[in-house]
Amino acid sequence: MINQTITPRQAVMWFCLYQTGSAMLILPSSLATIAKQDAWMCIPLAIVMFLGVSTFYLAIAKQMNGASFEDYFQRILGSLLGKIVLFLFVLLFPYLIFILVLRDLGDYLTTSVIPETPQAAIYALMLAAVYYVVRLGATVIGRIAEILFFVVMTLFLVGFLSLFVNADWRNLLPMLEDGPKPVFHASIHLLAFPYLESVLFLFFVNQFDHAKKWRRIIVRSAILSGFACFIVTMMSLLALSAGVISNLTYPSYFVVRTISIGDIFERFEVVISIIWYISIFFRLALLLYVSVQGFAGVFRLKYPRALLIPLSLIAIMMAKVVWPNMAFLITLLQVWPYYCIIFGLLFPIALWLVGKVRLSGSSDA
Amino acid sequence: MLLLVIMAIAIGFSFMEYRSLKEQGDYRDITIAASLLGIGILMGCLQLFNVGMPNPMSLVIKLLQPTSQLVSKWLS
Amino acid sequence: MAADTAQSRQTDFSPTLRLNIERLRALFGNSSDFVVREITIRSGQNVALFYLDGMIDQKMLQEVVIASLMDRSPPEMTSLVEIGNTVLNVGAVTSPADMEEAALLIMSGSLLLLMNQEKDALSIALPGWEERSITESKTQTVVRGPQDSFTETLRTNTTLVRRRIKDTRIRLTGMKVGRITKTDVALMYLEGVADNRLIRQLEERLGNARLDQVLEGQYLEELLLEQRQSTIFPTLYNSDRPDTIAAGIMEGKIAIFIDGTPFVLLVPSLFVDFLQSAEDYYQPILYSNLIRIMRYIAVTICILAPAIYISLTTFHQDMLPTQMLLSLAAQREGVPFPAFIEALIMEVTFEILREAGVRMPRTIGQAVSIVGTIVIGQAAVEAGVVSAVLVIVVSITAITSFVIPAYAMSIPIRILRFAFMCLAASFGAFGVTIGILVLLVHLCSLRSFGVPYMSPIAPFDSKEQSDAIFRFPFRKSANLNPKRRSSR
Repeated sequence: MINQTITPRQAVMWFCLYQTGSAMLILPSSLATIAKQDAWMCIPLAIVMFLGVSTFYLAIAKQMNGASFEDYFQRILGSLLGKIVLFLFVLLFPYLIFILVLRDLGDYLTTSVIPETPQAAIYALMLAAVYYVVRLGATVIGRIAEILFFVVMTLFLVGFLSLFVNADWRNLLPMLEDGPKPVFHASIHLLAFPYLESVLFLFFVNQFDHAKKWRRIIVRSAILSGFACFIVTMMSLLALSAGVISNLTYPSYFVVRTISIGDIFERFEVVISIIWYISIFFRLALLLYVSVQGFAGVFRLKYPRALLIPLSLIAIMMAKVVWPNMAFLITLLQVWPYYCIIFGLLFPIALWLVGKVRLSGSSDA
Repeated sequence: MLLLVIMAIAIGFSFMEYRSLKEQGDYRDITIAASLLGIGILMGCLQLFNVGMPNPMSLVIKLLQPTSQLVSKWLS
Repeated sequence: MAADTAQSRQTDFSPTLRLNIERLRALFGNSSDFVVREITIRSGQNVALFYLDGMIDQKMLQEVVIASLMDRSPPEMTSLVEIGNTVLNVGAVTSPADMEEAALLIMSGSLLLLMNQEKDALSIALPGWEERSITESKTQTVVRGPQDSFTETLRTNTTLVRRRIKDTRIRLTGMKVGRITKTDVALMYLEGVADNRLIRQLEERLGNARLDQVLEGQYLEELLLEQRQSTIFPTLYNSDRPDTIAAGIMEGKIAIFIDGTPFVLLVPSLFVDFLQSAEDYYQPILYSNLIRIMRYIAVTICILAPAIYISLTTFHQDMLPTQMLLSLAAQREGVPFPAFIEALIMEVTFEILREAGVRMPRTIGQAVSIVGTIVIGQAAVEAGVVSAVLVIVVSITAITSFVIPAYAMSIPIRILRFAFMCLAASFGAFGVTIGILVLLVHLCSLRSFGVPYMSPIAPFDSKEQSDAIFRFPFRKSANLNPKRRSSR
């Protein structure tokens, strides 16, 4: 699993699917709650902010200098402290998100689609597929991302662009009613989730020759997924309105239900849910891959594959626990961007500063 | 019941993995993976006996809620 | 002298002709088709001819070999080698070193000549057995295009391909595989285009084969497969059409001919190869590409149709248009089984019918197919055992499975149909999606002799796209390039 390579093109597609998957379903509602009808402006703003953040990630990537992310931790923090920090980071960020995403999938399926199926069975089925693909390594994940990217994006565009028929441009007015502050606020939310999770892409820096190439990849995938989010948000705003969207849990799912062109082109939400399952698959694959790499780096394992089953099993057990009800989830979603900022921005900044001190210190001596 | 099946499948697959690792003599890898597996089984058993498990997200919420409220007040 | 003969092996030729005859007869166990003919040539020397009746071209034997030996041999004492050089006006003449080799040659349709007082032997290839004439392919028919297909004789088959590629870079490597059958196997490839490493790998694996018998390509297929890869998908393509094999050779593939079967193997083979038909190149572009699109759709329908039926009727009834839902509900009213069992019964029945149809004698075939459709379909619906929609679904599945040009690919698809049905019955559309994902992951992880199975789609290689899914116009097709082996 360790010595697998992935081409830049495949990486862009994988990361883009990763980011689209998380954002697609709930994004318009969280944006519209804050920024109301200006929600669509948040996305370009967030992408621009992300470009800035990515330059910073590039600095870390350059500091890594060819080593893997796990080794980088240990190089700048020392062997023991590095392992501890790496362990906590992987446990609290990628692995936790893994469990949350899994639970999200289970909730969605048991509320809307197959209510009588026990959640554990759903987790087991999805994780069986994720286990299989992560076990085969990044090469295979890249290939399947290449195949499915076009399928997913085409269906996605077809679905959402056909909402143009129901578009009401007045839903976007008045623009900037409450001033730029809500837009800014919402952009920060959007930046935090999902774009600050790009810190996890640092685990892939050593797959590519130059750090600059890596940065180009993450920027490209951000732009692509940003474009997708933009379409989702814009279409949702146009077809329904900000007021409606902010009250829905799964706005994009609902808005696609309203497509009815010529009595034949209906029932498109099925396709959207399938797109979502596929994006979630890639999301879980990346998170599990990163978690396994990270933990294997902590324990210095030769065969990270061995950790796949225990981690999946623990995730299945923890998924039930992670939020007891919907109200809890809503509160969680309110604080979630700040959690992402801690791990996606503050922590890397700290890491980079330490790295600068350590490495320039050693080069001086 | 379902949990038992899942745990059994997990153990079964783990044994298959460990067999190939044993051939290469990586006992350290096996111990670590097995202990993690043990943690997972333990959690599963706890769930079977309906023993509540602590929710880490409550801690997260408790810590970060003040910040969130502060920023909302700030930016609205 | 006695020690001498004791040391010389039983299989060496001895100078005494009588001894040789006895030894050869014993080697063949006095088989009734083993013929020994002794003649005296003009110089007075005794020459013995050995052959297997039925394998030799009798006309050539009588009119050319025996006639020239008796009439045109030199009148003075001569050696066998000289006779071979001057008198015998036939084709391939070899000198086997011992009796084992000679026996192998005799069993391959050669004539063995031995002369009294000589240790040398001559063997003349005079194959003359009955073979099936060149007819049209039974498994891969085309409307427009060459109608010939391979026969069971190796030399005929290699010639059929040779005639299509008149390039000096064609190489033909022969070997014998199978300890008991000693089947002739030949590798044909285009030097410089085919992967040399692969050629050596194949030669090595075939050379080290520890098989007793090689009766068909499948024996070799299992030998040549990647070691640690287990899959139901085919990684070797087989065909009995010379034009397909020739096209494959020109793409850089290696053809494996096996004596005794008209099916020639082609290595390495990718997923897209199994969904291409020779006819795609013999019809206009637009038509070919549309047919190809239809083929891919057909494959999807073949795998997913019963699964979709099951998931729609069991879990997602709200996805159907209301009118259809009402009529479906009415139809399923009297059916005692859940949709999954219903579909399972019908699919299994159909597979049984299909298998029976393969082995049915021609005369009964018509009757049974009528019986099959009427009885199984109509009566089952009327008896309330299955619903009419399901009969439609199963028929569509069956028909689409015949759209797949390569039989080897329809096998895994038929098997996977059942897996998808189980997934649909347990988890609905979600299960089907996960099934598709796992299937795609499996396909992406396969390699066919080092080449990723899903290239050129993933890893995407824009140069190779010219023939992957859509056929580009011939003007634009890539020129003869070695296929790049990607490690991704």
